[in-house]
Amino acid sequence: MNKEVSFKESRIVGTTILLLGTGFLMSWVPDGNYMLLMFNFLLAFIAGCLFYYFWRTTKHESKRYFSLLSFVMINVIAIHFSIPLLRIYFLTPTFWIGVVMLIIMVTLPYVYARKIAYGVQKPSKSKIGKIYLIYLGFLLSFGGSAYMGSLYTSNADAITLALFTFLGALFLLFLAPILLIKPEEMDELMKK
Amino acid sequence: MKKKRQSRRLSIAFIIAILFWNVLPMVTIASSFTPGKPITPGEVITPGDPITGGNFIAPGEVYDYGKAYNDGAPVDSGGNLNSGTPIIEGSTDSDGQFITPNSPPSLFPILGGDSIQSGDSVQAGDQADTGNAVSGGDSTQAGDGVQAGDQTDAGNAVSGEDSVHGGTGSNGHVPQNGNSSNGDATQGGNGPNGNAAEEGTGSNGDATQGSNNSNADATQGGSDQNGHAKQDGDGSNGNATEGGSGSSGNASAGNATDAEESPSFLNTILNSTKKSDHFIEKVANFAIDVRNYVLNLGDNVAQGLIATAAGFKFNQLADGKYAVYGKNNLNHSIGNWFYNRYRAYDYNGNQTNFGPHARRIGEARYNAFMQSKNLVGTNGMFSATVSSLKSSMNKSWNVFSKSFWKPSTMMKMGGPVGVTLTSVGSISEYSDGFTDFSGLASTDFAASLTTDVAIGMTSTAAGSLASTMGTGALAGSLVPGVGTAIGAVIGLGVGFSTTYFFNGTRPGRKLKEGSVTFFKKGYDAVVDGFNKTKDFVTNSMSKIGNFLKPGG
Repeated sequence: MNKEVSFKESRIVGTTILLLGTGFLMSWVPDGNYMLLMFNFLLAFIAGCLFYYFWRTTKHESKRYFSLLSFVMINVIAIHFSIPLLRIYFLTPTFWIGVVMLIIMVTLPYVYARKIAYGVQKPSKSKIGKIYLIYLGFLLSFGGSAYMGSLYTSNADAITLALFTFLGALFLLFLAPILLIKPEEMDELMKK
Repeated sequence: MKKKRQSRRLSIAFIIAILFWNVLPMVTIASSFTPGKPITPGEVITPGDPITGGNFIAPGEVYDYGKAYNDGAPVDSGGNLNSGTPIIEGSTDSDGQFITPNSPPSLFPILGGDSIQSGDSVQAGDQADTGNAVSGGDSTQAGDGVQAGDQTDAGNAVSGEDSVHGGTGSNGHVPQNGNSSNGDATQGGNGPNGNAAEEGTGSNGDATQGSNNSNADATQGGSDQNGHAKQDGDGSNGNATEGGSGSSGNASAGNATDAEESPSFLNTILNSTKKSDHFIEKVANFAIDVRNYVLNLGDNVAQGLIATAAGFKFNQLADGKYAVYGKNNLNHSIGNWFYNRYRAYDYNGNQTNFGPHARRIGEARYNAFMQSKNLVGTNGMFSATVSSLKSSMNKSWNVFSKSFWKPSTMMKMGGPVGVTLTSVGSISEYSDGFTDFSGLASTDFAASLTTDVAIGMTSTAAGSLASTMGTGALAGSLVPGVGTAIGAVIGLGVGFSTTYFFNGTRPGRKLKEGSVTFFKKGYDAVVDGFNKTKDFVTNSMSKIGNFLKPGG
């Protein structure tokens, strides 16, 4: 699968647009803030530049290229997703607990990146994999039902939305470090 | 043994699931705590009895003078300090000799101990009673009344004299004033009091009896505040409209304090916990929950997870073909059912699936599979995004699409069933709880329903788009399987926040209102045109009829 990635296939533009979209939407929760909007857009543009840099340097290794691109994408979306809850509960105990949770989720998965990578791909053989599946199931059922509920009632709740995106951000941060593992190392890991 | 172990694992997973759901409602209930009643002021602290004076402290015996420090000499020797500049002042220390007379003053304060008796002034600490002013702080409750104070202005407008009454009205004890000669004042008073509800209505009655025209107006101002405006106001004076306008603002503010109206956390998650007025609505909400929890998400997530666990994946071969990996069959029959459905896909419009022995496929089939699972094939991101968007929109919203009417879509309550469920809320609202269906013929209803469906479509599209983009980026990475999960989370987040943007933020709501009026104008124009045509036809027919009448 290690063929060369053309610019058309590189997803640089599409992914940057996606990040601009999440940045725009998340700066409206719970209400609009133009400074935050600018910050989110800036983050998306920086990510776009990084994508281009990755493409220039690693386009001959498609797996490595898409992994790096996904890594940056996941991290930016995690930042976008975690801001609403912190804004709603700014400087309250909830805010600080949220900050601590984010710090832990940003650092700890790097230590266990290999275990997580193995667990995520072979969930039945690892405890981390099972926890990942259960968390994912709950996250999707919670978010899905809340989303459908907001569609039916035409009354979306900012706190529910912020809570879901925050939990989603933790999930994304949990998975992000495994994308930094090199393809050769990953092959060896999976042979275990 | 294997089965036993599997069933043990399954049961553990279920226990965790049940525990989780037990904890979640606790959290949600905690979020819906309503504020308690305001603390009513306690009784005024009455001052205690003054401390009766004990026995006077008899002055002790007079201290005998000690011997004077004749040895002032050392102080003089301090004169040695004169060498330093500050010590020059030290020479003033020689006054320290006063220290000796200090001993007699020490006697005086003891005598002055009588002044401790004057500590009765501590009784003046009764001013703590003026701390009652703190109970006056309860007037902070009456802070609501401050809004109502505007109405006292309205009262003033009626007559300059009444303004004086308005002043008295600010005393919370309205009924007295009301019964007093100044019926006007009472009403003015009702305004500032948060307690107006009871007293206000009472005083209004008095006021109308008071028979002063100007007073009567004021009454209405007061009564409006209480929300009883309609009865009282209409009764006594046409001026009620003035009072009504003033009070309506206050009344709404009063309602705003009842936070009961805002949807609780649990309501947002489970539709069936909503306060529905009608049985049909309850059933519909329950059906929505079943659809969300059991049919859609449960099915899709289970399929994906089981397929991942079975090791199902593709790998591109050197000749451009794709190798298919994964177990042929699973031991568990239910697991197998999900697994087989995951391997099913649309190929050139036909439903087909990877059988147990499919091991080598061409690129066309690979693309067809990836697209039907909302993953991305080799055709590039744009076409994959568009096709996945199209299929999700068709299944959920497009009445003219075949898949909209498919039994399998209906089974999942997408398609017609889903649209019906979406409409239940609007229908209930415009049919007075399914009792008076005449409202459904209005263009208001049609415009509101159209906008709701349009927002549903927009957020579905945005979510689906984001999901495809996120999944696609990961499809080429180290861990393609994780892409499905990450894409789902991103898609949900984007779809959800799109709905929020249209319903929860000011510019979004403006857009929504704008489109409702846009649709309404459009529908009105159509209806108007229809009516005109109808009138034209009827008129023409009657003219023709008149013309054909014998003798016409």
